[in-house]
Amino acid sequence: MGAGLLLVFLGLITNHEKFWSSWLLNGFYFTLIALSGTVFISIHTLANSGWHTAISKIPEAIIKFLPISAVIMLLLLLGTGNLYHWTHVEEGDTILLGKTSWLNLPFFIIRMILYFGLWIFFSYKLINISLKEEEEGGLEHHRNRIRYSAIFIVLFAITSSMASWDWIMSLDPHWYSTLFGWYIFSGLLVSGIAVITVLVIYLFKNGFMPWINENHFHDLGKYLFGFSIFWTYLWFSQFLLIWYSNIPEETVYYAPRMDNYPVLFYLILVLNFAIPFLVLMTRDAKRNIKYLVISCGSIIIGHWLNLYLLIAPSVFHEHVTIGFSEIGMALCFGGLFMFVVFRSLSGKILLPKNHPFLEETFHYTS
Amino acid sequence: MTNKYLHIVFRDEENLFEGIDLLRANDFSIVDVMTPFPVHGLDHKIGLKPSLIPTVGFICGAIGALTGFFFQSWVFTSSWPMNFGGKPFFAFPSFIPVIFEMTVLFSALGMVLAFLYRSKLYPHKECSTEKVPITTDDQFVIKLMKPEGEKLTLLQKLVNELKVKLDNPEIAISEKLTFFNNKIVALVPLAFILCFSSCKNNKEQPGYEYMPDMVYSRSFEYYSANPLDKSKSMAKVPPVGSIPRSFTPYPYPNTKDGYEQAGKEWINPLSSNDIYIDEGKKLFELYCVYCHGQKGEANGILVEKQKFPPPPSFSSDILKELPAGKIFHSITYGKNLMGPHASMLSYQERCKVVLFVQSLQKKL
Ligand code: HEC
Repeated sequence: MGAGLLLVFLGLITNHEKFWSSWLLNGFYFTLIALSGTVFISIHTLANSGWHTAISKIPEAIIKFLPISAVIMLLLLLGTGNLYHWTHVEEGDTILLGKTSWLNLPFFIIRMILYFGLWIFFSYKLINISLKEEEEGGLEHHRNRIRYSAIFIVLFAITSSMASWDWIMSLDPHWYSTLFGWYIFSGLLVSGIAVITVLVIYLFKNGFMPWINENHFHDLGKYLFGFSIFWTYLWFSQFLLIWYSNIPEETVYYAPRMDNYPVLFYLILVLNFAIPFLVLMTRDAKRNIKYLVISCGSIIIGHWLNLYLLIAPSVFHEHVTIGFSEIGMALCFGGLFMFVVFRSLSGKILLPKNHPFLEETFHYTS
Repeated sequence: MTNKYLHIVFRDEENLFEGIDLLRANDFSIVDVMTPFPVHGLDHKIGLKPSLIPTVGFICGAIGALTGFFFQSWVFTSSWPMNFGGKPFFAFPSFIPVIFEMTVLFSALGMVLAFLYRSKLYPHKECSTEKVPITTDDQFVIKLMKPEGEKLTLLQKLVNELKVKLDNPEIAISEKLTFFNNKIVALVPLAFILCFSSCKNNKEQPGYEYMPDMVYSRSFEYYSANPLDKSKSMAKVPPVGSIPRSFTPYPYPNTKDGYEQAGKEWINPLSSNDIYIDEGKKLFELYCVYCHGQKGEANGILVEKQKFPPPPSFSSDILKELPAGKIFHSITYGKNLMGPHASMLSYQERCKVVLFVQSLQKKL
């Protein structure tokens, strides 16, 4: 983390655009991961699932990073001029002028605050509910959790896709894709679950979660497998239509990505699809820690690269390599993330006492 | 048959698991366990080996994917190369959906067939496993070889203990399991009566409709009777001589006379210049080269692969003097083996192609 910090400052001095683009890359990446904790909890609450209670403390710990990533993303506002072309629209650019009612700085800032406000409110509400439940017990808290999860899921569906338009898609303000929000969301889900899985494995290996067994790993593995296919499906749906119709307005998006970053372009498919797909195909692999770690690593790196490929070609017109700035920032934020997560995990029993489904998770077979 | 086996009936799967453990611990040989729904972990409990079905699914899926890939590659690059929207012949991204479907189809069919083969099920074959209807309703049954003498008493003792331990008096040993759930059997005639009572003679009348909701529209249907002119249909033929928007009519009919007349009268609205000829060339390369070849010398890829008889070359004596009107006519309506192109090329585009074809005639 310290080394990362140093590299970051080096970056800031040398190149503004590169600094801010990697700030956006890493800030957004860790926002997604932090947010996936809340999504994880609310999905399982709404699906009445029992197995996840064995690990539900981990997503709750991940969420704790959300306020920090809010600060990071708000700091990004200092760099909007360098990143977002729409902040200084040229005369005669009718398309962008037509979009100014949505893409203008004040509204952009308001929306950003609104998204984070909503996400943090619901995330902390869910954490507080489970803290209360631990102290007092009773079903009332779980009912509350269901209520808040339901509202959150609906709001999240809207805000998450709007946030991805705002922060990522508007880097290329002339271009748009209608499934962009979903595309980002699918990435959020897999990379979040990969991080959760890695944390669970780490804690399990060090004896902090002795109640975890193969069945829980099997379910995490199924998620990784399924959602990496889902991500690929969306990736391909967007690509095939644009490739096939071959309309210049749309292909401008893929042209620089395929021409300037040919290796990266196919590498992310390998990392995010081929590896998890082949490694996790069999039932036994999903129950095996080693295979899970391999595919989690591949997914975590792959989705970071995927975000890089969404951001960098839009900001720079020529090819730029991944440099100190990106990696340094990733180390820095990653370190911070680890610090926050482990601080919130340490010194506690990692089991949600009094959760109504707690008993089910011990007897769970999958 | 039945007296070779014994059955133990349970009410829920928790008790079932305890029962299995107990029986296995005491060396009874369990033949089968029948349940109304798939119970997680059961196969492991009764010591079955993991099923081979997933492997079959994988292999068949892989075969399907390869078949899909190679078949499409062969068709589109070698057997019958055709241009689709200016894409390369080997258009891999557009193969993927078909490859995906083939994978799913092959693996699903493969697994079903493997399953039928493994369970020795095929048409006209009596099912060899016993039918125990209650297990399709709400009960769980362990089927085991009927033990002899001492072991039988041991079994009875164990089951009685289990009843007490689990506080579940419904656990029972039984030799013959032919019970049908009488309540449900009684419902069968009732269901028949209901079915038949809903039939009606009048075919126009659908009988009782559960939720007609928005089935009936207030607006007229295309083919409903027209109250204004008493005709059978609401849809009307457009008045004679009306044309769609931005459509240029072509007055010559698709006949021999029309062909000759077009040759004499038709004048290209576009005058020949390099830009039009160039655009015509691009369109020609998209739609015509497969038969006519780059320079109109009848050496297109389909002709060379002998999928198609060679058309006359534009530079040949027959076509050298062909007037613009006949060229346009043939492109619009097609000629003998050549298909019509009016639906692919607009009027303007056909005019440009004519200019290009003429340039081929003159050049040679
Ligand atoms: C499927 C193969 C095929 C394609 C595609 C095709 N042609 Fe032809 N074309 C033929 C054949 C075969 C003939 C000979 C017809 C005959 O006279 O029996 C022909 C004849 C012609 C003639 C002479 C017609 C006449 O009046 O004698 C012209 C001009 C012509 N083609 C132009 C075109 C143009 C322009 C295109 C593209 C828009 C095109 N063709 C596409 C197969 C094709």
